[in-house]
Amino acid sequence: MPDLSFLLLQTLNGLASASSLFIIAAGLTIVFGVTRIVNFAHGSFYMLGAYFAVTLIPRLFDIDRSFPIFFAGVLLAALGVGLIGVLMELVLLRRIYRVPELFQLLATFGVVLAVEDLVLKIWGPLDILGPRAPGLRHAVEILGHRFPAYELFMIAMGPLVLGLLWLLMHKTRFGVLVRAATQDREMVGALGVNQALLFTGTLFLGAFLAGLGGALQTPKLAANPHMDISIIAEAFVVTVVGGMGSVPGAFLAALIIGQLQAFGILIFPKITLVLVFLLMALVLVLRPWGLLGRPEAGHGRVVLPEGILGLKPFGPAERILTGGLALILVLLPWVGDSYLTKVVIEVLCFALAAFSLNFLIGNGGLVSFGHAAYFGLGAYGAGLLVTRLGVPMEPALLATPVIAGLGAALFGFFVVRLSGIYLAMLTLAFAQITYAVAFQWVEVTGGDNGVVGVWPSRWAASREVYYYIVLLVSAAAILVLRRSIYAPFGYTLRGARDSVVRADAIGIDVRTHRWVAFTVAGAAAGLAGGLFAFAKGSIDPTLISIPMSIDFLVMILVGGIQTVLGPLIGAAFFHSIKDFFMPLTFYWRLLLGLAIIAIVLVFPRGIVGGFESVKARVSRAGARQGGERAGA
Amino acid sequence: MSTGAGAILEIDHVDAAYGQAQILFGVSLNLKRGETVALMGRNGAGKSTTLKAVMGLVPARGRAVRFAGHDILGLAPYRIARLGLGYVPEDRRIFTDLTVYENLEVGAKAAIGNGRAAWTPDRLFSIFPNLAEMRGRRASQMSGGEQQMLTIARTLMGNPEAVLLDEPSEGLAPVIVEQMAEAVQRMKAEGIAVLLSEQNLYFAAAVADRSYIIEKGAIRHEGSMAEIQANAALREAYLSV
Repeated sequence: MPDLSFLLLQTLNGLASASSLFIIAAGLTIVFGVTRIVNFAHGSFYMLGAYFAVTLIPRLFDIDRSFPIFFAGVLLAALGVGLIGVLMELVLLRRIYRVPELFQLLATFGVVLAVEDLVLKIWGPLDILGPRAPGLRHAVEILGHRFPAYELFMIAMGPLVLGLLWLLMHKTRFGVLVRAATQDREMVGALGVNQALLFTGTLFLGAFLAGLGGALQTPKLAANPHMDISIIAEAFVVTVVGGMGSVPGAFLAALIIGQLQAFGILIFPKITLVLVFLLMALVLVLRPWGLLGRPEAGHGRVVLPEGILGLKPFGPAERILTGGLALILVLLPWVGDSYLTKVVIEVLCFALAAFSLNFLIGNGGLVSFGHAAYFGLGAYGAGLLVTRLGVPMEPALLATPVIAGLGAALFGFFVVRLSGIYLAMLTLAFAQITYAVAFQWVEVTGGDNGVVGVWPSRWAASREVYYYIVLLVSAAAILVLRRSIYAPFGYTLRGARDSVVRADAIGIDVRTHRWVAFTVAGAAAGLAGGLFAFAKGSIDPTLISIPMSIDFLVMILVGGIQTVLGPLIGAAFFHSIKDFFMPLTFYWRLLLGLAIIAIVLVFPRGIVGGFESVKARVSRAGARQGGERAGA
Repeated sequence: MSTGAGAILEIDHVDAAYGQAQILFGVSLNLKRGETVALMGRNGAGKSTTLKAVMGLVPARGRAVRFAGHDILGLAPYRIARLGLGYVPEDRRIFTDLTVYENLEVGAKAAIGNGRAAWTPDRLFSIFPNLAEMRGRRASQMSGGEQQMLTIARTLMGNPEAVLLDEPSEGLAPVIVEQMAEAVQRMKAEGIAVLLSEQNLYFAAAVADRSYIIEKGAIRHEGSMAEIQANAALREAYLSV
């Protein structure tokens, strides 16, 4: 049993990390409240704040090495980030306030990718440690323990920022408008408030806070190019637990999570990450809109992407196209070289995963941001069965949909109780839990390095044979999923997607249908993951990471989520582009990020969707002409 | 249809649609300065959609919507509001997290410069004494009737020349309906033109000078309130349920 003074110290540590979490999350929650955009790039703002600080403060120290100069440097860095937030609002966000949330999320993730590469280009890949704050470099004696003075300063910063924000929100017109817009921004506009200015101001404030959080971290944590993703997941948790849009909620949640981390590390040193996300899952299940949030009002309602609309059986053209494609796939190992075969194997795995994701999103209206969890569960299931237990490939592959399906059933049980943005955040949280387990449970999963030696059975070892296995299995799985989209089960899901209330009213058990759909999609993604693991011969945590989930989303977005076959085309297109460009350039993330943004801005219906709308426009124009002629 | 002279608001053949579903089919009507006009019709006839289309809250097309000499069709709602057109939504849409006073603050805009005394919270409190008593209270802790008063006061804070008032009497207790009627008459006394959508013939008759009847997204009749009250066939066809 640790003594009391040690517990006190741990509490102080928790308070210090709560402060910095709160400062960052407050910005995220304010921006979400007003714009209804979940801004992935908030993590990039935080990272930029840190880089600005480590660049700026040493130069300012040439003037005078003092605490006021240090603090001025921190504020300047935050100010600079605030201006970048303004830029992002003017150039990007302003154009996407009306597009479905899924696309908004993706567009802001495009910014994340682009900023990451720019940071690498400007500051290089190495960590940069910031100067320590003059006057706060010493340690303070507390009950016989030494405690860094800077941490005490951080503990004070949280409540200070909360107080200043409270004043801003209650004593200025800007703040009152922000609070009003958080509740009903359309009404604020109808009362004569120029929302554009309000939104720009809000982005400035949000980015400023993220930058402030990043700059304040620099004496403790070196600026590094990975700090964006690691912080954004935590900031999401804080805002979601506190209630999205609620600043006091973010403060409360940061306090709880700070303590959970401080003490969790004593009790369960291996699973601190898991604890945080478990807390989030628990809070969302008990209070689906967070501790101090409020249920979505009708006016700020969630806009779902269009999803699969008028289903029709294939016409002759589509039949010929699909048949031709199938023929090419069957003949591929004879016509293509070995490298092409490898790429197409990967494409097929991703195609199945993407198809299963669109089964959820386009068909079910369940926007999952963590589909990589189930892909990863399948991959790890197969990999660990083969390498740790010596199970042969065939039963291991058969086990993958079961393992991933069980995982999806467990997570899905909670997920289907939510809707909209909270649902998306919960899927993200579950994916992060899965990621954390794979990352931290080193003895079993191999941690960061993963596991190698996941090879197929001897008879299937040649690339050509394995290719046919993948082709057969993924095609069969896709056909089963496709069949269920056209079956009453699929119609029911689409009915519930378009109106839960009406589906409920005619006696459909929406939750159970969605739960089954979530489980089925998870199982299919797991199968894809298993196939992928044997193709690569190894597994590692990137298969479960946020970028992997985003890749799947981009695939279905590129293909077009309102079509049944879009995801397959999207997977092929995306993976071949990535495979082609990644070795050629150091800036593939920048290119990918810009491409995602471009797609959201100019091509929101995807390749197949875009093709279909052109087709529809042409045929409408034709019909109109015909009508006029008939009338004349 | 009477047009033009002295009209502050003129809706000229306006269509509106939610997605694929067209709601309004060539709606035309006008509102003269200082006049109170009722837009009457059954549930789903297109009353609220007409007001929202004018305010820019639903996508609308057509020849024009003219307000105080500007064509406002297609403008953003905040620009329309700044020209001096106020909007009171049917479901009130009070900012329940804000205090009564803060709700008024959100509505505040500079006066258009028409020589009339600008609205201030104090002036509004003298008309709505209930609100004065709870100026510091959160709007979520108000009754429905009080919220309805607040939503009107909030719109008046913008110093409008004309107000679109959506279903002011809906779902209110009779005594509150009476207060609402007084509030509308007060606006008229202040020289503010009011276009209100209404199902309740008695309420409309108590406040309005003229009325339009809308059915299935098109104007079917225009006339004085007295005329509609006298015409049983008209009421039977378009208003009774």
